[in-house]
Amino acid sequence: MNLLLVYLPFFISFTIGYLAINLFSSKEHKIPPSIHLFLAAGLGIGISSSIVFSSFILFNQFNRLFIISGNLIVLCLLTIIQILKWNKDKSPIFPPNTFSQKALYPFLFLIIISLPLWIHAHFYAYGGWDAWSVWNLKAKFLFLSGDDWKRMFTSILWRSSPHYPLFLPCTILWGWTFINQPDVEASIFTSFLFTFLTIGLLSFALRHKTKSIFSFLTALVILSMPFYIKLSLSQYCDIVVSFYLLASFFCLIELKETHHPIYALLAGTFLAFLSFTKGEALIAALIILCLAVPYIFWKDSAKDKWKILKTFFIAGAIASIPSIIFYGFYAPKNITMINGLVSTIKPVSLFRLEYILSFYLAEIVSPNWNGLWLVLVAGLLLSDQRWIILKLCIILFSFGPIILPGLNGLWMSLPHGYNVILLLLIAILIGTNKHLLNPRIIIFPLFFIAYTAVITFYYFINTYFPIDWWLQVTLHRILYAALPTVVFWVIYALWMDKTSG
Amino acid sequence: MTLPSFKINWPKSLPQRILIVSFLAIIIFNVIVFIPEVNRIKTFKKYLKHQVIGGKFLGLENITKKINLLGYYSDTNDDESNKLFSQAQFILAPTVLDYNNTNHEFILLVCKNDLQALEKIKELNAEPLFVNKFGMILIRRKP
Repeated sequence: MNLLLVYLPFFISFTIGYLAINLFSSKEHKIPPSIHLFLAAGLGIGISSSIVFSSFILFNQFNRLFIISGNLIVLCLLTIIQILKWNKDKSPIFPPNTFSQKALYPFLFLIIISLPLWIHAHFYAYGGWDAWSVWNLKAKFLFLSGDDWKRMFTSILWRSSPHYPLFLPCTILWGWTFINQPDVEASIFTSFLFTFLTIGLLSFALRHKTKSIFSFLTALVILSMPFYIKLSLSQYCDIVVSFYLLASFFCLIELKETHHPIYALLAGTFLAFLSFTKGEALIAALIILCLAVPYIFWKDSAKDKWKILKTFFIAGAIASIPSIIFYGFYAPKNITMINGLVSTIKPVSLFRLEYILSFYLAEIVSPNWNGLWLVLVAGLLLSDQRWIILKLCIILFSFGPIILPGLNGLWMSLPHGYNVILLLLIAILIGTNKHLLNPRIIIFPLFFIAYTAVITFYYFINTYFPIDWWLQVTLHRILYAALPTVVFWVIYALWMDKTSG
Repeated sequence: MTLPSFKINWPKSLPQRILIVSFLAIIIFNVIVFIPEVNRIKTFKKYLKHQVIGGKFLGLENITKKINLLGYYSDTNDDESNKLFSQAQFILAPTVLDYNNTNHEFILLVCKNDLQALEKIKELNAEPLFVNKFGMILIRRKP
């Protein structure tokens, strides 16, 4: 019974999300049923998390009655509207063939390959270090502190990153609302659910774009990777970032191709939710926001662009209210920050930059990823078959000395800065890949170039932490969050019709 | 229930085929690497139903729940003691623990042995309020 009370809030969120997407869809503009389900869960959880945060803004504490009634009122309103809509135009709540055998087998496949994750997640019930020292800790403070919840922003708790936003803690709180106690199952289920949603969205979105059954191979590649499973069941916020990053890009891609207003609404909303997850996710959301406008307009002669843009910005503005309030009124200053550009005690150095760039190369070939990042980089380079010999040589010289035994001596004897030059060459070759510059997917390389530049700059100028330790404990999580989006990009780029522009 | 027929469109271009083959190779490698991890967890599960954290501080949360700010003193300073502190903070939340700061009315002593704990209590002119079965001592400084 207790377990059902933990799962019930998430079912309510899913229903809210499903009905909300139905409300803004029409007979002409419909999302494919399978993708509808995954986006609905993400939308619903975001709405519920925002309602939980509203409780702290309006009542200065966790108000259980407000949170439950707020969600139920939204659910009832949407249900009534759906019934009226169904009566008016006789459109079904679930489109035909949603539950056909052919539609259900891929879901069954995903559920089966997610079982190891489910079992592992219940063994590592408290997750990783940052789960109990950051995210679940914040959730406990919010749940148990009463009207003194702002105590968690004290500088004494600098280890728990008090400047981090509260999307995940509010989601965990939503899981505790019905059971009315800080049950560990809510944290376990949240991390499992977001992993399942991310992999499911990736698989079905690729299936939708490529029409290839091999799209589901991506789910198996990622969910069979021990390192990915370890990070997923760690209960960190990176999986939440991963989902909303992928969902935002998918909706923008679909918006560009179909001009359906529902994708404008979802893209704006998911970007807003993304900004409320983590600090680097806020940066990612802002970059995508800046790129989204020219992306939608570029080489596009559709007449309804302004309407689409209006929908995108209005949805984003409403959904970003929790984010704006948190960053504007509650988030304390980040005290783990020393500006190395002006500091005389811990100044920046060129060696620091070279170390950072070298570490990127080393992380890509790290045995943790079992070669997946290497395959993805090679996929990006080789999708444009110009200069193929040069590209193969660069791949060999970049990664060969690191991964091939016996060549480590060669790697160490190479000139200083060699690895930086190689990394820049790889970036230039990817950036000049005419296949990747297709207007349909150009937002991906632009985003990753900008995001990498910002992250690198931050690693460079913030000299608070020793750079080797900092990169070791953070870079792999940034790559983990970006992985599903990069997989989507690479596969879509390779399968995309080369003749269309 | 009959199995549905899926039409498999084999990839047409060389890069697509290379990617599929690479993914299949990674999957096989992942499964091989995953098996020892599964066995490791199976071994652990014979002794523990699931991971436990902060077990050494259990029992204290009922005493400290009315204390807003608690000093935390540890006589070791390494990765293990930092981990223990983070776990203590999680178990005792929403009480805020102030690491290695004994300038508070209430302090939690995490010492290697009772002798070192007693010395610290004398040094701080405090009295013990509660000791749990793992030797974690909650003390109060005398005015």
